[in-house]
Amino acid sequence: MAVRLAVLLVVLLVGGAGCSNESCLSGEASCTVASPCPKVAFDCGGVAEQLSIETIAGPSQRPGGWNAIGARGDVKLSNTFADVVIAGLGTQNYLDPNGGSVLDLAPRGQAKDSVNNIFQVVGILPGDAIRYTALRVIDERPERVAVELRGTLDGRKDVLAFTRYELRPCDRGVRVRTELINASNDLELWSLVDGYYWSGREALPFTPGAGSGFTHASFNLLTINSVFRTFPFLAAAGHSTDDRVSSIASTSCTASSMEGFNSDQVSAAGLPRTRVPPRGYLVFERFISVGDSKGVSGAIDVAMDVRRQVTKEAYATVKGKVERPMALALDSERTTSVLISEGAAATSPEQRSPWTQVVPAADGTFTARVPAGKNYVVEVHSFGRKVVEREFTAVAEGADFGTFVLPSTGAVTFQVRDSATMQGLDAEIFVVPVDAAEREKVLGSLHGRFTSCAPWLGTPAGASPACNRVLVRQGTSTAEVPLGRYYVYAFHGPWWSLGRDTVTVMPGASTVSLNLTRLAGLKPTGTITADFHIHGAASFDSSIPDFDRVLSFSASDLDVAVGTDHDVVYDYSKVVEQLGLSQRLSTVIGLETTGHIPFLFIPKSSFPLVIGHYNMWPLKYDPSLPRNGGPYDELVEPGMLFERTKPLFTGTPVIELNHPWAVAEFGRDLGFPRALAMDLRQDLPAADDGTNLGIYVRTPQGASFSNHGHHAQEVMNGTDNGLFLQYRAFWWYVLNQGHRKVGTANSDSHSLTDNTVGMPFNLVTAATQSGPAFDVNVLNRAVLDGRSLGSNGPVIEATIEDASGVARAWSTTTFAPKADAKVRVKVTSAPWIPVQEVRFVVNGQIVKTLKELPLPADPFATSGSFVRYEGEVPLAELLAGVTGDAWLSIEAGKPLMLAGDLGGGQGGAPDGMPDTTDNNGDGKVDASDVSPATSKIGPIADPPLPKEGEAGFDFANITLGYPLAFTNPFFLDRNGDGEFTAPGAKGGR
Amino acid sequence: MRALVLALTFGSLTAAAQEPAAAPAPVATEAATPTTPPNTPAPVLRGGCVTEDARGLPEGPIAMGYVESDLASGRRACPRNELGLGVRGLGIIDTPNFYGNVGAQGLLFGSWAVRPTTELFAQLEAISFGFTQNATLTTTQLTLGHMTAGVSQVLYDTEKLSGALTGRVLLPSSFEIPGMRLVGAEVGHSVSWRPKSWLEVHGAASVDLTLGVGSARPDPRVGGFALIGAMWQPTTWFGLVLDVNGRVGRVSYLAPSVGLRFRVAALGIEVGGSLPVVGNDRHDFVAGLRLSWRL
Repeated sequence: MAVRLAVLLVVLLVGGAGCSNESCLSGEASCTVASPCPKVAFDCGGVAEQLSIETIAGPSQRPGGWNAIGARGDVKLSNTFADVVIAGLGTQNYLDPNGGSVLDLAPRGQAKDSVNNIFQVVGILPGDAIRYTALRVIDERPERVAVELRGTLDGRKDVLAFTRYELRPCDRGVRVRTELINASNDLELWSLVDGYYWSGREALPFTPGAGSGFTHASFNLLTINSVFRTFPFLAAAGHSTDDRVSSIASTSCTASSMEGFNSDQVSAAGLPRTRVPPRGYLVFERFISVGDSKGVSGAIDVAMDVRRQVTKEAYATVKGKVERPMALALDSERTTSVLISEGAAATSPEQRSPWTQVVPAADGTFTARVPAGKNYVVEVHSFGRKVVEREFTAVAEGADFGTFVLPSTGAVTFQVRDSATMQGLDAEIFVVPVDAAEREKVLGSLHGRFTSCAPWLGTPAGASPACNRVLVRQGTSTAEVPLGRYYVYAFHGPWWSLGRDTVTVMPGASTVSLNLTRLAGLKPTGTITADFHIHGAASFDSSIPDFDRVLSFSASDLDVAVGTDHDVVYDYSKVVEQLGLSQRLSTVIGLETTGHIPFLFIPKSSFPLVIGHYNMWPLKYDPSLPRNGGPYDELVEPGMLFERTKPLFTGTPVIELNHPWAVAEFGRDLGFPRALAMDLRQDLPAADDGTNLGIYVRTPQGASFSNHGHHAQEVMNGTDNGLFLQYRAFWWYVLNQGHRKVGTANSDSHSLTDNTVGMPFNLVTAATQSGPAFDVNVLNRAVLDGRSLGSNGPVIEATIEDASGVARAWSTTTFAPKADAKVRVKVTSAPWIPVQEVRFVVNGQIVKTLKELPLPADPFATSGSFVRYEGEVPLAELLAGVTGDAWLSIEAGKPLMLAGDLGGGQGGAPDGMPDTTDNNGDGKVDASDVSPATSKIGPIADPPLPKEGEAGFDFANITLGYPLAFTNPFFLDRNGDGEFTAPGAKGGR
Repeated sequence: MRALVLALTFGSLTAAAQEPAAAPAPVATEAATPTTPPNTPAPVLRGGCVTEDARGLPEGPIAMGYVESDLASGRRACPRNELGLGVRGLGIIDTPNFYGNVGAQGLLFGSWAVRPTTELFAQLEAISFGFTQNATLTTTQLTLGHMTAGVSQVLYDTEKLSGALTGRVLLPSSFEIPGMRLVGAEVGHSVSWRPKSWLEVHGAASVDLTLGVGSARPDPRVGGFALIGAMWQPTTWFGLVLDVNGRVGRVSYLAPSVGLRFRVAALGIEVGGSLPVVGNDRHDFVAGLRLSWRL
């Protein structure tokens, strides 16, 4: 009897264990993931039901929108209300290691995709992402269509993962179920979430919670655990400030809340952090809704319906109206944003819990859903400031909040003309409060997010007007401006005068007219201006629509714009044609490779790294392919990345190392040299010697390029010249190592606000001009020859006589100078771009500075001499103390801050890279310059912005920076061996 | 086979009572000592068991394993009556791989020598606390832990040598695994040899099976365990134990253990620690303290 009982017990244990064939938790190959969110159902409200699933074959099947990237091999599911694209297997985008993530999600048939990437992870390390290896299309129409994926955690074969995306005919979004099974030996700590890649200038996360809404605790990779919060849903909406935006919201189908963290860069929303021992599993079911709305309310309305069905939480649909006398528009986030928060007027904003944000319709009316029965405060924001607030108690279904009357604004028409022809110009208007008091009155932001601006005319990342800037097309543009007193600047690039008027904006319409003059002789003949680093909405971190992006090229009077969107190839030429700019503006197709997945380990560091960013052009644009034909840029060293890109070039290739020493963002380095923590006091080894510097010089297996196989390097990046001292230091270092990398100057503009296109620019001496006859190969060869300078206004012309007496300009070609050669230098600039000194740099040291150059009396002058310096300097004087060959570069502009190297290398050791400036002005760089006190280095500061009346005040109002130009080097063969012998880290001294 | 099955079930006691012939060969009987509680079978074994004057002193292998509750930890061969409580701590600190996991359990355990040669025993992780950290995340968990119950049956007992068949089952008490309960069984053999009055040599070998019960796959895992060790017992109130544990299976290790044992009257105190030196087990340490009151 006992034996029977025992056997029975064993049989029951073995046979009964895991007997529930629930979904794919059994891990069986034949399983099917259970249909997600069974409690959730929608009706179509009388709209004819539609349901389809297809594998994308071409770009016409993309949902459309600034973030749409669905490509051949991806799977598109569509129903009556939504389109969703799931990345096909092997299609790698952003943080998704192998496909299976959500690439696009938009209201059906509308070009309003605001999603970069939604992917499944259990943490933030590379191995925490789910790598799908099988995809199955499920077509069970008319009930449902679905995509089922199975795989493992990346590199973890013993952690099984299954995800099902499903659409039913009337769903206002996509149902998702993810199952994760721990078949390993280890107890795991998982935060099974959807990762949302926002990127900082696009959609912003919104979560209900005290003091939350659009506001979230800041963190870094080491403090992320402390910012996990619970929230009933996560919502977001695009902020391009045009009509091509939509909203999304994720809601749990099984629980009343989700857990995660939020930032402008990335969000995570899903299950609580959970210890999962071997044999344990997690199941995450959620509904990701999509709403056709400019604010987040559209998707939140659906989320509230899901919550009603899942948690029985009742919602109330509320309504109201916004009015403003003589408003140009009310249906824009810049003019009207209604924030509805649980709480009372007496409670502080930190104690209120925002539940939704709505942008009214054109007639000012709005509706939104919020939990029923609660007390709410309704705030109406306009031009980045809260202008009306009202309190409502015990809000019930159908509650009418009444009418909110907003303060008046001025409708200002900006007119910009060419003074010679009186024809309208494309230009950029900068509206700047005349003083601090005026600034304080109009300082605003989008609910505390993005950049604060004064005045805040629109979302900084989006379409014009953005921040305090307005694009003018063909001479005219009208924008609503908060009342106040402003300097209004009209800008059309460095070859033109700067227009300024002082304006008091009053209620009603007014006009500001500014005439600009092309400054004769400023732009040297035979040169062409080019910006090699520009982003538009195609980038995952830009929201500026194509029309505004291209118009901004013209507004800066740029000749050549190289489109370098992150990880996608993009072609702006069609918009150039649409705007009628083809005769004078040329665009080049390129991209910026952007490492997302850390993988590279360097000596003395345990954190994996990415390789930073590289620009490459010209490339083939093929929107039918993943990344529009761009290379898969993850998990390889630079040399192999260049190898992958080699077949994609359509002409003379240029590969540019971008912002080499930029600060890492979210653990992802932006520049390869900084990622490697290179010690610039040491010479580069000839081959990989196992050191950090060895990684820089090595050639990856299978590649024909070394890791330093790029052609050019950004020395100036950004309109404010931030980190110039460090970028320059690295350039000087590689020049001293004999690597003749061409120094470039680019805006790296992602919007009208962060940087101004063409500021700075490359002035290239090339036998081609922009327009129909433009030849990118000619331009690129000139760049590769080093026949360019970088500048945000000043122009340097210089020659040195060679041994045969021929005056030679700088280039990468080495020549022997004449015995008594002189450096002939001429520096010119527009009157509003003051040049205060000229610097001569030899082998990485400033050897001579011509200081206190005369400044223009009138920054707004349109005639007179634009020469700031012209003269000769004996070459021997500059080369004194240098024993061997030398390279010589010339700079012009404002005096720079004194900087020093107090540490910053691995282990905090000095690394030859300046990291701290003379911040206390005592004439030396030491520990007393460091702040905060907890730090051992930094900050490295730019020269202080000038006050009104000081030189460069107006320049700074536009650029937030200072005038600067540098030439590429002359390479001087002093020992006559016909070669340029590298002077080494010590500069040959 | 019969003994094995009995050891796997709670019905083993009944079976043993109904089928006395299944018991091992009779051993010599001795008179109960005055301290033996009434109605409790006296410890009558000789072999490697502690002498009566050291009866509170823990004996056999160090009662501390790397897996659930007391699975794969060996078991003394000598039945006794006792109640006890203890704590066990386990830790993995794997800095290069950004992983740390520290657990601690509050233990309740006891045994009942229903006959001189038969013992029922059980152990419950009454409180199981876990702290886990990876590169950026941390979390804690406090839950009811695993429980085992089992039986040991002395198979032979000579002047210096005792050997027992042991079996235990892992009951689905723990809430540690989301959505799953863990069950299992173990059968083994324990030996105790006392060549000298101050030296006891012990060994154990067992096989175990654990599997999940719930919605996910059961993922049955079989393991084999062996132990050899010795207790140096210079007095009746102190012992020093050195064991070497070895396990094969999905998780494998070879781990030396060391323990100190004390006796205060009937109170036994055992402090021990173990460290895997070979194998894929990632633990950096296991340590424990057990207080037992011999009845």
